[in-house]
Amino acid sequence: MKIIDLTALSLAIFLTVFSFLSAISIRSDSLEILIQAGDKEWIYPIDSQISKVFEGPVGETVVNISSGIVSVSESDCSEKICIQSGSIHSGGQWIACMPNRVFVTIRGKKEGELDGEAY
Amino acid sequence: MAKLINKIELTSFLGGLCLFLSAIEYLFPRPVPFMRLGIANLPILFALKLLPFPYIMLLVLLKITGQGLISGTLASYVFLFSAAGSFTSAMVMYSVHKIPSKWVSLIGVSILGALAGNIVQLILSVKFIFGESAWVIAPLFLAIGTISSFLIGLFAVKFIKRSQWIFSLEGRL
Amino acid sequence: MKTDYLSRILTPGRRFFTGMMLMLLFLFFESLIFRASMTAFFLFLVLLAGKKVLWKNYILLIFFITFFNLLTPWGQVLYSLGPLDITKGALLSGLQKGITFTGLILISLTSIKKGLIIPGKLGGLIGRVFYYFERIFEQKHRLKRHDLIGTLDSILMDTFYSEGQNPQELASEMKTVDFSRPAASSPNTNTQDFYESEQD
Repeated sequence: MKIIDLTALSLAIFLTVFSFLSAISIRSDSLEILIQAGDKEWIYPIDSQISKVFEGPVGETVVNISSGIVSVSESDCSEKICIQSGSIHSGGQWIACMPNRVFVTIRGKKEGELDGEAY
Repeated sequence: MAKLINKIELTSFLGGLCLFLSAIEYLFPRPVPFMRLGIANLPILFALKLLPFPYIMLLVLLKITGQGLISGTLASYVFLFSAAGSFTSAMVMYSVHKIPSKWVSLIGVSILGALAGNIVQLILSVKFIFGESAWVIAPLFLAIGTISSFLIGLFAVKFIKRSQWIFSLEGRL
Repeated sequence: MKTDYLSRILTPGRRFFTGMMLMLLFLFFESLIFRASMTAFFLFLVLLAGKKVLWKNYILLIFFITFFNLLTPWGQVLYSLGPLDITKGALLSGLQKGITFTGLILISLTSIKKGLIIPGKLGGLIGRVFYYFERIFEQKHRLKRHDLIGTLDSILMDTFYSEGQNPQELASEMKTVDFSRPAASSPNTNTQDFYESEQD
């Protein structure tokens, strides 16, 4: 084994371990957006670019997700509290449109999602 | 004085050896369907010692085309993935091999080549097939690649030291 | 060996061309239903071609690809399997990718048949590669686990400098090798069988 052989081997081992550690950590710090409307649920990754209409008892509520920021831009409810509550971007925050039964939360990914299932 | 050996013919021969080794590789059990040990890269390590750059690239082309013809995947994603991985890996191996031999042996060449090829294949399969979540298979993929490329490099070093065949080619290329 | 019905109506060259046209059509429309029905059609063609269908491999392939895509949830939650949420968007895109991948392999399998001549210099070279592959493959039994280096080396010596010929004479003969030699221009069926059975 010569000097670059050893360096190459260490580099390969380092990258293997690094990829292992980052595969674990991707799981724990990535956020996802949970939207509940009626008795259904939708899930999107935090980095999605999406604008979607959700139906509720009062009418339609439009949820926008863009560059990690989530907001309600239109809603058929009377109070419009959901629109006024502005945008959310970090875990645990939520927006609710009570009259139309639309509930938007940012949450961490479910724990243990990959444990033992990855391979 | 021994007569010269046709480089194209030697390239084809090494290509045939690549196909033979990939046939042998199918005999090993594979943990995941896509996982390759890469023993078919052994002739490319020999080629680094024997042939100039254009012939090495030709050998890679012959290897992947031959493998594609046998497995029938010549006209599919599989072929493109293996082409991208194999060419990257061969170019890295060639560059590393240019470093004076007092610093590096075929072991380092083999490890770095496999690493580069595997990373390219991982990126492609995440982008086009499996999605972001496939990064979880990266550690297993890289670990197997590291171990097998180390052993293949080691084998190549020992083989070249002992081989009458390699010796018979010396000075005739 | 099953009968290859396709070879009765198509020459290897036309067969390859037809296959490539079908593949372009396949890739042109993105709809899952379209891709799935085309894949079923390709499966039928593979059966017509008398090739072994590796059902287990294709099902596993689609399963794995879909599974990995499901790990990043996207869209309406259809079902919660313990910690894993099956979302509609992720499920459809996973199936689409898995089926597309499988479809491409199947159409590729149908299009490529022995006797397919790759034109030009590359084709001739491939012929030589297969010629040597078969030579080495015939000697497979000589490879011994306890002395891989020695046995491989002697196989290489014998196959590169084929029997009864002096290395020096052969070397000069090689320069005038005729690449278009038909005997060596196509993959041998036996070795093809070997691969197909080993993949199971």
